Amino acid sequence: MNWLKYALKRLLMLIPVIIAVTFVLFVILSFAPGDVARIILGDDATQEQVAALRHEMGLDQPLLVRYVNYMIDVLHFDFGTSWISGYDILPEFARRLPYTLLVTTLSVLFAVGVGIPLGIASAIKQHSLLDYGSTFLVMLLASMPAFWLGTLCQILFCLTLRWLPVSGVGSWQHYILPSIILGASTLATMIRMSRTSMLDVIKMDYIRTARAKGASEQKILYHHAMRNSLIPVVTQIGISFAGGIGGAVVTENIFAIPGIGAMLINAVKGRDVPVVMGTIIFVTIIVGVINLIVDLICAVVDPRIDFAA
Amino acid sequence: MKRILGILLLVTIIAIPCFAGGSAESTAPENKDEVTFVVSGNPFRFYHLGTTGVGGDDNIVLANIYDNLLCLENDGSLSNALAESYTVSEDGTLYTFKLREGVYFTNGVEMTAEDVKFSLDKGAVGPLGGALLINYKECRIIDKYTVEIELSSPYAAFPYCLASRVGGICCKSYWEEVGDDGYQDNPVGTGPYILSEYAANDYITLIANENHWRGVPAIKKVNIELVADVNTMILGLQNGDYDVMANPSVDMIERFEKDPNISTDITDSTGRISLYLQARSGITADLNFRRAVQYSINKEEINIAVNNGKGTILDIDLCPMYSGYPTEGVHVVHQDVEKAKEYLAASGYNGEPFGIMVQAGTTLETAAKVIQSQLMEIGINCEIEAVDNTTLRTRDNSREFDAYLCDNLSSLPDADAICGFFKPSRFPEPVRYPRADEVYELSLKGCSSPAGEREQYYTEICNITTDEAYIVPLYNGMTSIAYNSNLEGVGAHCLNYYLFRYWSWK
Repeated sequence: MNWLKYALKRLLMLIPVIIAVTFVLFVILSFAPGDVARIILGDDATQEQVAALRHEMGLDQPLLVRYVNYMIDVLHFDFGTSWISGYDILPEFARRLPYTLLVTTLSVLFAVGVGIPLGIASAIKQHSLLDYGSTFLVMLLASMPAFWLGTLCQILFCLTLRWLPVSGVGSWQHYILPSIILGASTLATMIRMSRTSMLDVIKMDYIRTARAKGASEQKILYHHAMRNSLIPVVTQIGISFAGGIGGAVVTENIFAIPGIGAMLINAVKGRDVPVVMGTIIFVTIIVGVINLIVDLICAVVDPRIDFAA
Repeated sequence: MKRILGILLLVTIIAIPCFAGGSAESTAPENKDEVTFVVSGNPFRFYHLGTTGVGGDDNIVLANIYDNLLCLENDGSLSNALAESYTVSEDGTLYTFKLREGVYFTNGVEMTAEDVKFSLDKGAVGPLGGALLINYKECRIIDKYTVEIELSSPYAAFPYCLASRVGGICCKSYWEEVGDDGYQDNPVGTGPYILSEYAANDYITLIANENHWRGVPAIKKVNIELVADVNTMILGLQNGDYDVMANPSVDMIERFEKDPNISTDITDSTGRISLYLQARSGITADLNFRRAVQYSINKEEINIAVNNGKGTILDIDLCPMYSGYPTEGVHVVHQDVEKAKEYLAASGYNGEPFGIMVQAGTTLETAAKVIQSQLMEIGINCEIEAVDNTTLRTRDNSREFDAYLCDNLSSLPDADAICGFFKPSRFPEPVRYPRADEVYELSLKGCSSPAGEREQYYTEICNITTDEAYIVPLYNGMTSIAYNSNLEGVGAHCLNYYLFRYWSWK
């Protein structure tokens, strides 16, 4: 049950992380220029109307009081309503989260499905055309920003070839390009990591020993080398998934996917503090949980990891 | 052999997308009574009588789910809507409206004078009332289909007030049942469309009002997609994912003009793009400096840089389409570099930075850069302060800038729009323009005088703002629309109202 204790400990450690993240964010947002009450009411509203709304929103209270009140509400699962658009944050987040999770999951699956086999094949066939080709692909994908690659792919696949829709979420075809674009940089990382890791492993003594003992190349590869070479890759999958949720901000905007990234960027633009805060809290929890799951999976893959230690 | 096959495969993969496909011809969708309209704004308030008011983006929905007594058409003219006819008393303070009979709200309740009185009375005391129902005193019910609206003093632009977003007529009995929040969630109007679905920052669906008094709209369903990325909007329109795109830039319009499948329309908006100079503190408190700025600006050069020369240059800070626009006796300043240098030499300018505040990422930033180069030519150390919209509006309200370049979009296409900056309620005394009271007095005369007389007051106002170099008018704002060529009746509206009832597939 060591792993359970470890998981609980890690989950508890999320609490100070959330408090620190939310407090820093709250302070930054509070000091950002701009009067939200004025934005909501417009330039035509009188000073009295603006002051009344500021009071109603609690903006006339000290920063610390506002933060504590906010966190008390959060503890009661009351994330408030959007200052700008008026929607309830929790249901809106619940509506949007599946889109983000779907695109992120598909992007990671794409990166893993293509990246790991390609990386391993490159390592096995080191200095071959395949190896050089994959190295070129890694450099290309790693150096292209998502917004640029996304637009290029939209022009090619949506406008010129008309194979795929430009944006939205109406059908499964809508998810193809966003997943590839979001997964592009992860794919580069996967190829590079699995190649490097496999190269390290296949040069180890125990592989040489296995080969000397007459084990088949297939057995050496799948039974001895692969499992060990995947440990850093599994960790990277978790990091990529967490990063993908953050990276979805750009991809969701390009492809008009109504996920939490698009929600966050709209909220930041409008100084919509409750939405920004709520979204960041959710994302922090999701990323924390994903990292925990990855650590647990690592322990399964690598029996040397001891939770008790 | 394997290597050759590998190379062949790679070449094929790269080559196929490069040579395949091509731009397909635009066609009307199979479902010819639907339209997908893509916008970058975020309409979310569907009820204008609440405590938070409504903004410009909300007009997209409001103009289609509510009817006003009068309607503001694409070109800025007024037409009768729920009002069958109306008369104005000689002194201009009493408007008598004969309402259209047999008009029903989308909940089945008949629209009567009670609803008009309720809507206008509530609108007048709300956050939009002070700016958009100017001089409104009260509405009296004469009979079921006649109302009298009394103004505290004459206001020539009042018909435009009634056609503005605060003038949409709501159902009194429904409001009594559901209140403000209920009305926002399920708005009920007499307009040609009904709000069917809404997801924040995502999409809005409107369906046709089958019982609309004008007849059933040709487009039965309007899907409004809220998309933040402009490139996605363009590609989606070209690809056929979207049928209509709101407000493409002039560059995009020129690009679309080469595409036979896309039509475009562009018109002057009710906005003036002008440089507003602070006149109370800092270097801009010096009239000679302000004049130096005024004389150094070449508006044509800005118009070419921003609008490819397609914009209408403004001589005064009023749009030519405004009612009450003065045409005689106005002072106009054209670029004169020598004169600008003389004014600069006469000023107390010592090379300190002169900042132009502008919204980042807009075409106005381009305009600001052109102005910057023109000012630097005469020796003014000009800096551009590109800030986000929220910061911009806060700093505008407290007048924390040397100069502010903005698109001053007016909800009312009337010359009275120039007076916004001079109203006593707009800015606190320490930052008001020194001659603001004088301008305000003139504006009161201008807005209470009949057509033919009022123009003289606006001439005087414009001459003060020009002579004092408070404002450097640059060019008229523009609104535009791009759409599938198989659609008809689509046109750019001066206030971005997008009247879907005119739209249909060929």
